[in-house]
Amino acid sequence: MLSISNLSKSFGGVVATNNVTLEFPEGSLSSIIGPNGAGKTTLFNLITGKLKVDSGKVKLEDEDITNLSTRNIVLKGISRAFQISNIFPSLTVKESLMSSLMSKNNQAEKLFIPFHSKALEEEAEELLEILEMKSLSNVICSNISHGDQKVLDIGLALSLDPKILMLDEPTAGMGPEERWKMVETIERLWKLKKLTLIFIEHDMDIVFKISQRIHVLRYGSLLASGSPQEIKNNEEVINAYLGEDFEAV
Amino acid sequence: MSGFTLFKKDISIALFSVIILILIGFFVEHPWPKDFLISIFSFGLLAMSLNMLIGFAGMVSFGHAAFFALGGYAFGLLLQSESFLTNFGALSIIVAFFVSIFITGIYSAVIGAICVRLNEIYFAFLTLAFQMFLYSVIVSWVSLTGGDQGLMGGIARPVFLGIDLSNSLHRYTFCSVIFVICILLLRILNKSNFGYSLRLIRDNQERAEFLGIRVFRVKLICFIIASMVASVGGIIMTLFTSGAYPEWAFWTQSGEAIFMIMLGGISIFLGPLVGTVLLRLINDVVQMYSSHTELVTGIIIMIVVLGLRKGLVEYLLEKTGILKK
Repeated sequence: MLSISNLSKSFGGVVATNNVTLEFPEGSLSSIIGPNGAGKTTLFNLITGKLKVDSGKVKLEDEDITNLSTRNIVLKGISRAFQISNIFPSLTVKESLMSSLMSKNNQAEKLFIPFHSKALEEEAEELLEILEMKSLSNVICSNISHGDQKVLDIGLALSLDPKILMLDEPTAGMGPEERWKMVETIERLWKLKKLTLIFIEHDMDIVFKISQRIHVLRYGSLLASGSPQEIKNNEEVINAYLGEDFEAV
Repeated sequence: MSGFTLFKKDISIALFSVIILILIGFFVEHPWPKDFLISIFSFGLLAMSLNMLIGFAGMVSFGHAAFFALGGYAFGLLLQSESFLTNFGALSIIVAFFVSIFITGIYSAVIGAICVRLNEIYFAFLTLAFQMFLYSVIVSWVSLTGGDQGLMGGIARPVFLGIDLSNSLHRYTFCSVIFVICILLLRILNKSNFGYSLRLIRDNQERAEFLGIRVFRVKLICFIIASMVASVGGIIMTLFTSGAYPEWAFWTQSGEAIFMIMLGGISIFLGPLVGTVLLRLINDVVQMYSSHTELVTGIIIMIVVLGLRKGLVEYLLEKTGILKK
């Protein structure tokens, strides 16, 4: 589905992504882990067009999408949510989703079409149902809880009807209970929408519980790739990141 | 509520307002209210269109009055040109009206294409620089613009469709219709898909990009439309004063428009218009008692800004519980 080959990016003298080659099969749920500064978010930024690639290729279903504009990559079917929830503070939850749906329908530049149309509202309500956020529909986004903002952030990405959904630390800043609720939501959406899902995560319990494949980055390079079992037993990963006494669930 | 009824409501309100304004024209004998209202139409359009940039899209321009001035000068110059008047005869006013808006549109497209790539303070200062550039051109090109004297000698106002703009009632009616059409246009844009794309950009430009919004394009279109509406304000002023003046292109004029927005309220659609009325009223009243108008106006603005920390309309709506914060 999505494959990246020999991807590199450096900032001045610092190599943030070093010759990374990865494959994300259709319908898979993969995670990317690694210590701080390993280049996880940079990798996301390279794939989604926020940063320009120095060398290497990003391919979506055999089509070269390297260095396309953010908008074009979105149109091809890759959308993402952010590490720090990235929403629209002055709009209501429903309006935010309506806005992204409007953009998906390629209606965002219509000067004389009223925004509050029945069709768009119904589409947004469907999405609210899926996200289990119906009760928050008319609340201004800046007033909802951190956890709900993260769900909304994912909802915005999901509303674009992506083939590939990329989540950057979906449980960052959440308490333990909220985290597992979020994990449930993510798994549910993944199955429901038959997505290819890639996420960055620091909570190893979550990573080892839900990932089909795990990719470990260190200093911008790929350290290891494999099933949770393989990664758990990989000496190098244990030494570099997980630590001697790591016991995954 | 379906979308169409939303626009229908706005259109009905607009029609109602036009009727009220026209009735005022017919039944009020004294010239002051009409003169006052025409200046509101003119500066109101400047403030309202500037708020399309600031309030809807989050683009704080310090150079918006340039387009107001350009509209006014283009309109005045066309109607002073003998060959233009002989070519278009009775249609001169209408042609000059649309040509002036069009010229402003082209000019703002060029300025906008350079400015809207920048954000915040960089955008603000670049728009200011372009405004002062236009000001210098106006002041130094004496043979065309009359320099710091302004466009003198009056403008021709040939009668068209029975409308004689040298008649004060006709002029007032004409201006009020144009004014309401422009406000309605801004209102529709505010509630349209495009208006919501602007909100997305204002709230979070990066995220808007990741939703597939063409940020540059949307901002540029917004910049051009706002400039064209501002030029209509300038045209109304030119019709009213029968001339055009370089102060319109000076940075203080843009500053005044920002004051109007701050006085009325940035987040309420008609806030800037209320701000315009307030600022003009303060001006007129203070002028009767003191020659230090700017000092008094400045103090009042400071009280509103520092005391209420929001526009007057916003404050009142929150007090009465209509607007929840």
